[in-house]
Amino acid sequence: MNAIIISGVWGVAMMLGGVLFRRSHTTVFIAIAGMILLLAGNLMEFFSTPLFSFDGFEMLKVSSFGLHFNTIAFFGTLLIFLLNGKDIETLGNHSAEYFSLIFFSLCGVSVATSYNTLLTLFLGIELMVVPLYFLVGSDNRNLKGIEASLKMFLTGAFFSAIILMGIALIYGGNSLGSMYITFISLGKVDVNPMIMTGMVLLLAGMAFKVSAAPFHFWAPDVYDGTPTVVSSFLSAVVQVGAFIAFYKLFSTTFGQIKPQWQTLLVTVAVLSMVIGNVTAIFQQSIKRMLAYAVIAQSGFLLLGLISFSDVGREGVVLFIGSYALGMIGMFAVISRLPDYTIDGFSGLGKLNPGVALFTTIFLLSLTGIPLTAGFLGKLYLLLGLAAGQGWGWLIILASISMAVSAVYYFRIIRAMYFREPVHPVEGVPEMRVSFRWLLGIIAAILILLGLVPDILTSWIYY
Amino acid sequence: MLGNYVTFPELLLWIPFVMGLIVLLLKSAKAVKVVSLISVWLTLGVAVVSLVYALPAKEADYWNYNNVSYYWLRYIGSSFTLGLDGISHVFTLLTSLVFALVFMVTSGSSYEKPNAFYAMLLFWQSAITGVFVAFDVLVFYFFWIIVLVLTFFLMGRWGDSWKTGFAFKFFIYQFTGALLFLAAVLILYPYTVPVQADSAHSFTISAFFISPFLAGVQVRAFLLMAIPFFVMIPIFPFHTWFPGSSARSPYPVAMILGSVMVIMGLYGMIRLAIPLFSIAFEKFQDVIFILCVVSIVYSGFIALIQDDLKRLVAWASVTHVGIATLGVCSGNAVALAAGMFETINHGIIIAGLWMVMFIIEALTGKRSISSLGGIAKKSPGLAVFFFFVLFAVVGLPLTGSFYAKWHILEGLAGVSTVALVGLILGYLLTLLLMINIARKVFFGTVSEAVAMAGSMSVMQVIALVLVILAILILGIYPDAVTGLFKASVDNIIKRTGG
Repeated sequence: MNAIIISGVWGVAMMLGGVLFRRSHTTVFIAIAGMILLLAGNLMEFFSTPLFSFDGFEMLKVSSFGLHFNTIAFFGTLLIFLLNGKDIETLGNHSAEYFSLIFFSLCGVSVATSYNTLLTLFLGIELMVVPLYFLVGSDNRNLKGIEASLKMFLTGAFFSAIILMGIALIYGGNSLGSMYITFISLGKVDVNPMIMTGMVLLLAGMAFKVSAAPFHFWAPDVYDGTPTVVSSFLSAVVQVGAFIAFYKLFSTTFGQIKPQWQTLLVTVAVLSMVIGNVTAIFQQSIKRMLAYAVIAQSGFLLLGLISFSDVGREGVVLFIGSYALGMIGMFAVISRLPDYTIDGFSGLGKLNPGVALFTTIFLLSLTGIPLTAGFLGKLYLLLGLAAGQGWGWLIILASISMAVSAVYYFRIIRAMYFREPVHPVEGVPEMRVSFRWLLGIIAAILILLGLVPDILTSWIYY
Repeated sequence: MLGNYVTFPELLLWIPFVMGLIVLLLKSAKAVKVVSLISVWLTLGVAVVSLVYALPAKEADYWNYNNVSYYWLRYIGSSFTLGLDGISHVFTLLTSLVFALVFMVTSGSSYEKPNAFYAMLLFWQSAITGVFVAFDVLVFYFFWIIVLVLTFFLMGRWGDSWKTGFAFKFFIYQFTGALLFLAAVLILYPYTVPVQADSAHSFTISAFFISPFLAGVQVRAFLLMAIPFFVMIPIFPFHTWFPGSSARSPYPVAMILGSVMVIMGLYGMIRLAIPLFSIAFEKFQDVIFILCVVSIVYSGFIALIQDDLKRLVAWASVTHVGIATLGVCSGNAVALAAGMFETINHGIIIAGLWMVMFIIEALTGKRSISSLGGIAKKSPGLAVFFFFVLFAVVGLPLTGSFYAKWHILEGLAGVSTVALVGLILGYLLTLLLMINIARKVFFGTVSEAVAMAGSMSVMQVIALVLVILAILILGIYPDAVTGLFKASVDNIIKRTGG
């Protein structure tokens, strides 16, 4: 409960306090302080000292699994604040409000990782996404951003309605008249057409929220159109929250009727991997390319939900950790580049060897090259599948999709090291020392996790 | 001391790596070269010393000094296991020898950012050695991929032309193959037996060997696993990355690529694909024969019409490695042992051939046959050396290749007519090609470029002499090498039931 309260309160406080320190640079520091507090509060609860707790009919139930992902999401946000705090401040005219919106979104993430009823699931998802509608369109001088915002809002609202309808059907369809996710599972409820329909609708809605194909159409435009820092937050944090909600829902509520949804989920995963990876190859804009990469990655992540094993769960943790860090690093670098096409990266190896090296490590991790966390994440997910037997074709397909993803990730590496700079040196914005150090730290974490994955995965058994 | 603290496979792995890190920090090009030469010599020394512990007299110490295992990813049954058995001994020795030769021969040339280049090369050596000493399938995969990534950087960054996508093509090709290997391993994984208490299955190679794989699983896994190895070797139709990559890579990279790196594919066949999947292997043996024969004949003809010496050597090496592959995949004890011996020969001979071509280009500045001629008059030393390599390539007596080629023929005689015909065609085409080079490049009128040529450096002469010595030792006393992997060959044959 710590995270929910702290993030909510801090969000409100920053919004109200925004009047006091408008147009001053203190906002970033206050936000960073809040983030550290949030992270600390979450860790305290993880080690069993909740500061706040309320019964609330057990509509929220904090689990170490959920808290673990909170930690990843909060740490990711902290990194975004540290790397791109200035960018958030200058999104538009209301610096403090942007931070408070992010805090509200994080509050939604904490609800989405600890919900215990379908109602709180919906609340969590909405709380997580609604602030993003504003953040995506925050740069009101940029028409593309406004278009992205509108697109995200319209489709998002539509799919929220679908989720709600699914929830209603499940509520009406079960004889217990219950919304608790654990109640409906446990085989107490007969599976009737109403529940099945509700489940399919929920699956579609959640697939939309994690931008899995065929519900991915919003993602490329949104990632491309918004300010880079918002893309970073969307890809790293919101994805994590939405996926954990998805994972929890299908492993508890619908865990008993796995055969019924497995085929659907496999279809979604395969489509995401194929469409995401293949389309990403043809993109000119790197942000758009990364959006398709996000689609592909979320397809890969769904494999963890299909396999349903301990190794698979470890894989989910590692994958999410490595993916969030890699995406944050990539978007941070992109936000400092002169343009968003591949030319922006050209010759980076000469202009800025350190940053190029770190970017390479992010890309290697996202591709799934050994000695980085990304590889172990993917390996564990595949291992989870392998243990189930009979998933040979899916393993092969996932492996080939990894190979396809190497095409676009390595294109960036090629541009950085094998090409001459396209832009004049003066055109390249300077990267501060602290910025470079932070990128280095992210890269170091990725390699460390690639060597000793247990430091992240062992906590899920806590 | 040794054995209790550090073992030979570890030394072979970490010396190049640590020296590479040191090289990375050095500023002057001269210091970089000196340190990297020290590193390759040191590694070669360790590889030679490690052989002492392979002698029967030292058998008691063998296990102690040559195997090591660390906990790593223990909950999924993987551990960082390294070892040197007969096969690994030979391959690591070859790797360190070829690296030493290549570093010596190319010590005169200069490269952009020498510290990064030589550090990468040393890391590369470390990773290739890692592939040869890994006794855990996952660790094998790790090193394999690291080799690919390093090759990508070496080719792309220091290659002839930055604009072309050959390094990129190389990487995508190989990475796809490697992922199929991973898929094969994962398909096998649930059938493996545990060797540690912490996990239900295991990734160690020894666990793979004692696990029963059903015929259906074998076929699937073999098909997936053979592809990356055939891509690496390279065998038709997976060879298309090779000539371009070789021709456009800087010389040190091309030399090692052609002589040591491609051998990783054969090593994979010997270590994993053939002994693990005996049923599937038997099923696909004819297909493999046909692919090898097509590969040998096709590349043999294409090599004949090449004008660019780099491309020519690349195609010639495809032919030569195809012959070795035929032996390795024969399923026959004699031919298998000979095939493995030919693999070692391949490493040394092709490295020698590359060295000749490198020296020719370094001296004359040209590498097309049409602008060369009469080198024998200008530089008799190089010509003598070239003829030694020529004898080895075509397989004249007193060279190791003769022993190998003869026994491959002998072993295949009863097995497959197609393979036999292909083999003989391959020998003839190689002979034709080598005589062609001798005629056009070394004899004939002295061309303008050759007339201007300088002379070889001392380093280069020493390296060339070493190659000649290696060829002669292998030719006169092949048992020195074949004895090392005899036990391993017997094991493989026992498994395949040949």
